[in-house]
Amino acid sequence: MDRFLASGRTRWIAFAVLVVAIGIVPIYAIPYVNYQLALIAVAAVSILGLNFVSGYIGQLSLGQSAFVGIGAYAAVFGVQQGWPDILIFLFSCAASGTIGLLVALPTARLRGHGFALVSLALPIVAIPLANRFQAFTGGATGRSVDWLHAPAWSRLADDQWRLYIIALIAIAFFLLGRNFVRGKFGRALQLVRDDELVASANGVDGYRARVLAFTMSSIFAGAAGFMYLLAVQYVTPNTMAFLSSLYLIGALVIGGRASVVGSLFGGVFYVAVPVVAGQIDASQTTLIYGAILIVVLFLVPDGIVSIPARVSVLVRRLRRPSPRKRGIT
Amino acid sequence: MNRSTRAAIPLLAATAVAMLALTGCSPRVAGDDSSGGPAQASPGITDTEIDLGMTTPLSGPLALVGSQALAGLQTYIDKLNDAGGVTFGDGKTRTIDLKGYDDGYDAAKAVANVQQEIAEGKFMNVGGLGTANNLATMPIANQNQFPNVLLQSGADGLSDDQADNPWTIGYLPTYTGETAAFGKYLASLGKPITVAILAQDDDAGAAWADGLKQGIQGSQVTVVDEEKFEAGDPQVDSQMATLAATKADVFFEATGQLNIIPQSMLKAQQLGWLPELFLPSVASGAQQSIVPGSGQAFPAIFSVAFSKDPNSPTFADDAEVQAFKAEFKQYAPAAIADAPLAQAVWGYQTGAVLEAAFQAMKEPTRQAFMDALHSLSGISIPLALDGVTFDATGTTTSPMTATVVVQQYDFEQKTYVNVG
Repeated sequence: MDRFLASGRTRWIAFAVLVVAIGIVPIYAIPYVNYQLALIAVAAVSILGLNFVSGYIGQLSLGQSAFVGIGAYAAVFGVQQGWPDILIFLFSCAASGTIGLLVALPTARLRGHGFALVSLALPIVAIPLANRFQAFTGGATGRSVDWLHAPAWSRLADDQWRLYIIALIAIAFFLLGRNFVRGKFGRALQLVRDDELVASANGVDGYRARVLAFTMSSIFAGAAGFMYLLAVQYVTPNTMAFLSSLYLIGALVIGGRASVVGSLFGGVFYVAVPVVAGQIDASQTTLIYGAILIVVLFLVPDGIVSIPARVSVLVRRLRRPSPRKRGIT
Repeated sequence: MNRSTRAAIPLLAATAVAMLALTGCSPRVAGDDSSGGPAQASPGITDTEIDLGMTTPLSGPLALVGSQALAGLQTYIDKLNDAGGVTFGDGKTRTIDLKGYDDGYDAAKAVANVQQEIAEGKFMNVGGLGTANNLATMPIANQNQFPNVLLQSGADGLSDDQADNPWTIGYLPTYTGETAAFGKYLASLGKPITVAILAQDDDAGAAWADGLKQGIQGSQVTVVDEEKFEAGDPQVDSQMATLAATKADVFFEATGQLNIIPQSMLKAQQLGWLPELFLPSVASGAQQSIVPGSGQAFPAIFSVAFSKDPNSPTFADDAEVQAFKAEFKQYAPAAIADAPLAQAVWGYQTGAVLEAAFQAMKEPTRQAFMDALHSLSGISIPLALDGVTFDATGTTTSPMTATVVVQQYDFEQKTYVNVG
């Protein structure tokens, strides 16, 4: 069973089904569902970026929301200047990535709590900064844009068109992220996480690996910021709040550490659970969110992504009494 | 990718397919408008019930005031329902259902909530608290012709362009409106007065300062200096030195920043400048500003208000306030039932406005509701101060802006009393 699920063909079929679903759902779904799907994609891409640092390298980063905000504000700037959309997108990634690189260069030498503290400072510094440059950021009330409407030939509503663009970017970044962590570099990151001495004995420079991982992480966050502005059409300094970073970390662990697919589950959790909590009791969303988080972590400590593996372990245990049959299959 | 991640992909695909199944089976086409003839009822209203939604912060730093706004409106609605409902302008009697949605003061969640309300067939979004979250939902209201009304924010942006945003209107007096009232009060004194302004450099600060300037136009009152600081600045010592040097008669705080106000008051005293002081309503509280800023050093402290403060000793024996407190205790969630704040009062008043609009609403449609709301003028608002009137007929301001009352702080009673 396990081997069957793991076979390459099944995976590609599943991927194809997913892509087809992404293609069809926006046409049928109501704007509310499309909007939530867009927010899931935004969260998933930022969690995937965060995974490079916090999942693969095992270094806690509490600043991801600041980079999402930088990406979103960069997009606001591009929209204000009337740039072409593709340029705005590149600018969002570049702005966030550049700042990520500049932060990483000195701080990647820090380990453990030191690095976590520096990353914690990012959202704390970013919010007053955004309040300060009011002419461009709109201050505490934020900036709204009226941007990227569905072209007439597409015969789509705005929410459908925007979701397609967001899904396209998300798929591209997930493929990028998958290749990134599966290649030489992903192995290097995990080696650095497991034992930096062994890593350096194998010619992997831990410092360089961390700088690259953090920069990649902020580029992904920048893309997520672009997608965020596209979906919400509004950004406030609150977007960068430290609390959002904490929720992203929580969703990362729930989805599955050091897992590309887990990041997508994390995105679903990040968006869907507050909605579910709100349906149960709108005045207790945080409490219910916390309870669900604890229950999920208790049942599947390795994240949602580990559910099939756990299930197949259980199934194998149930089958164990008849060893002869096992031999036949 | 390890084995567990590989195995997870089919799980993901299954989720996606399930979602597809859940979304229904008819494709949407752009411009596909389900609204039929004018007499056809809008979603969210039947012959016996009307369903309302409110997106407001129920978690996070603004959870307390957001919950108060919801509980205040809920109290008024429960009272109406217990009395059998409201007889609408079309002759039918309906009960009202209100559902709260938590946005945590997050613009993205507020947008999601309003779309959820539309999807769940609510008739309108009403009474939510906050500026950024409500500004973010304005375009959604426009696109869906969905009423998004009587919002608890003083931001001019929610009400000042109703030609472009016909489905949104605020409730609280706009920042410009409240300081204009103070400006008019100063002008009415009929003598030369100099004013020095300390303004935070953002939309709100500009609105407070502009309102004052509008109010004093053509009078003997003059603004002698205006110093700005960046929102979020920790101190304003240099600005205060410049302002104190003017020896102006009135020190006008065009900021709601609670770390700056007491500090600037103390700095003025330190510099030997003891003018009359104006505080905007969002920051006029005794415990917030006057006590920490040693307000008793100043000859007078002014602010503006439009409703009775349920916690003020002035209104301890007021029948209306007592009735409100009893109802709030009965209907509000137990955690806050004993301690209504201003936001609960505003929510309660919003209920009275809705009742009046429903009574004037000739057809069960969203457009008819907006028309009815905009026809209201001079209706009686519970817990309003004497002299305050409601006027929703304007298209560039919020309904409560028409009259706000200028008040002076009374140090003996420890509360504000009306002066203008």
